[in-house]
Amino acid sequence: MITVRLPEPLRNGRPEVITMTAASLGEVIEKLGIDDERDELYNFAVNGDLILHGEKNVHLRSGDEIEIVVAFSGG
Amino acid sequence: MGIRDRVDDLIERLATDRQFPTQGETLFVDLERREVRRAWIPRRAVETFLGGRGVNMFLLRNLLDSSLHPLHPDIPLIFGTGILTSLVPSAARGNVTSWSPESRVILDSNAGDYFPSFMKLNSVDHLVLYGKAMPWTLLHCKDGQVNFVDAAPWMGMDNIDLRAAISRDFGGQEGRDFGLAAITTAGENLVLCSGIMAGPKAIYARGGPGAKMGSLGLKAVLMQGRSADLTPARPHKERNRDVAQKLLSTSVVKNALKKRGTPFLYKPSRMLGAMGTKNNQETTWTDKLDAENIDPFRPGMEGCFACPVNCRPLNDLTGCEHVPHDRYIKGDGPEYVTVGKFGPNIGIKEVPQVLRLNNICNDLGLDTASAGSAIAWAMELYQRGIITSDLDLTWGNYDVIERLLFMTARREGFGNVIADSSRAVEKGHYPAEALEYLMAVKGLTQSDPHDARILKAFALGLAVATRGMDHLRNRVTLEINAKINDDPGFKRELYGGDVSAAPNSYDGKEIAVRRCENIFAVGDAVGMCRFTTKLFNSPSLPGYEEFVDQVANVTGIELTIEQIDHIGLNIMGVERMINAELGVTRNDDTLPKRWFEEAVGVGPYKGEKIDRHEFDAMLSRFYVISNLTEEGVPRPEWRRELETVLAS
Repeated sequence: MITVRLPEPLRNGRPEVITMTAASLGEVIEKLGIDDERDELYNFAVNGDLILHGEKNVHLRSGDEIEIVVAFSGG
Repeated sequence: MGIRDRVDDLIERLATDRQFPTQGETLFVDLERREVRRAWIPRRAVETFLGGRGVNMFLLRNLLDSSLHPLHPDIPLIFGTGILTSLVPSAARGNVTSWSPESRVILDSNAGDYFPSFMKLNSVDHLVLYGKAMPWTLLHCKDGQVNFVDAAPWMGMDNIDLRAAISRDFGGQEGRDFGLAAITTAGENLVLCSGIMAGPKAIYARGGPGAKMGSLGLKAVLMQGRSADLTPARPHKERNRDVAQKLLSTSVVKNALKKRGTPFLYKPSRMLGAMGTKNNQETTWTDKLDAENIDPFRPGMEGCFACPVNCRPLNDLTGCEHVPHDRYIKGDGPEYVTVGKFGPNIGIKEVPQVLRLNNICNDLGLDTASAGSAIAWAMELYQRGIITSDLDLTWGNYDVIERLLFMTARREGFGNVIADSSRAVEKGHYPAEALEYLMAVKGLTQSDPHDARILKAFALGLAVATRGMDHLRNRVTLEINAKINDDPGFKRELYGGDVSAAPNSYDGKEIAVRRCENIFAVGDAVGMCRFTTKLFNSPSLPGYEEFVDQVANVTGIELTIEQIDHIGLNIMGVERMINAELGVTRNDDTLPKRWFEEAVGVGPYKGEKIDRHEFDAMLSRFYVISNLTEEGVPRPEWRRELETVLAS
């Protein structure tokens, strides 16, 4: 099982933490149904490592923890 | 030729009447003789540099005597307001420009809150200040009149007391009735890491603007009233509604800036292993400083003049244990820069401590980027035994850090060392060996906390930024976003060329930096906030399309997208010409030694550093697409074009 932590704007009635089975990050995105909703604000982190490119092809293993975080560097 | 001769020569070449609707005057204020002269920036200069930062550079290039010292009273301090400032949503910004006493290259700083808007509302587009005021002076501008007021009643005041006193003594409320740019005791004491306060928190920072203003004996500039005729060339409010809607519907504004302000940026840098920690010896830090942990201390948000975003978080530490309940119990901020510079960079882990240091810096008028960097540099030197001090400069020693801020503002004890910022070796405080550990480019310490060894576009941007090591000139922030990196077509459209998807690749990064540097320079010239300018934090924010429409509506000046983009390039070009006159060469477009020699030790990009050969090749490519010579100055034909406008 994969654990996914959702930020408030992407929950849409779902809890903050949900679990699912998925072989890749692309599959997680598809199952969450957020590909269209997720605009330029969010990145994925797998087990704490921020993914900066090639995100849909990132392979996952049971026990992986995914966090969706704001990812910019302006400020 | 002295400054007065230079001003005479320049005014002869300026216009004698308004060049377009909404244009304000350029005031030349001789603080020593208490004389004011007025002129208008000619249309040709406006079409080449627009306004704000761009026209400030036009003025500096004409008035600078590089044989002097930056703190000489013949070196002018120039305030400028954007060509759209106060007239378009989120355009509340203006720049202050001079020769930096801290970096020794151009000083150019952008701030918002209310002062730039009240310049425009008083029909003052540019304010050129020179000569040393005797006694200390407050410049009071109201209804087109300029009065020189003896500043004795306000001397020695810091930001909190000063703003309250001005409101009491002149009447009215800041932001509604007046805008104020003022220095604190740090500026009076020529502290090089001090700024000019443009509001409770807004500061013209970077490069020592506070010291420069102090060198002119000028305590404050007060812009009071709204007497300007700002009738636009044609209706602009309908397009303003589009701009506001675009701003407010953008995800970064809606979900982050409006809710938490910029501290949300801390977490991705920390997770990436790119958070400058302990003077960049390390690159990650505690999650205790993530933005959600600041939430309990944030009672609300504030904003700049007529800006619908309101991205400035307030803070309130009332009820917090172990925090003195004094004047610093509440305040404005912090921004991400301050969280980073007064958190990981000096070894602080607790949110209340960062907030309190933020509030103290706002009152003392200290630039948190420069002051935080100077303290971190001292701490590393202390850690290595390169310096000794009566103070225990151990990382995270909160009590000493707080005390040191007050000592810095007064130039007392070791505070005198911090007050000399990046010039501490030159001033004889540190041995030459200390320069090995100074995290600076062109004499300016890094503005933001993001360690740029991983993202090569960030690294190039910091190296080539004309005012020194600063992210606000050209940061390709979207390089950190996977969705954009994974869409080569969209990325090509954004930057106008192929930019590698891999953030740690050098391929094509110069194209992205060039595009950002142009649009950000234009943003500064029109007065738009960086946070709400396209490419800085979002590809969906207002950009050239909105700028050309509103410049046309407000001023009647018609520009194409290509022409306004070229104005951005022109601004960089004249800045590089000024820097070259100040001795800057290709060798100064570089990075701190540490980033070439020490690898990142944690995170998904562990082992990453800057390859000198790759960096140098990327720099050469940047020069080629920027129409610069191998030495980093405008190529001869373009240079002649710029010189013609500058001398016309």
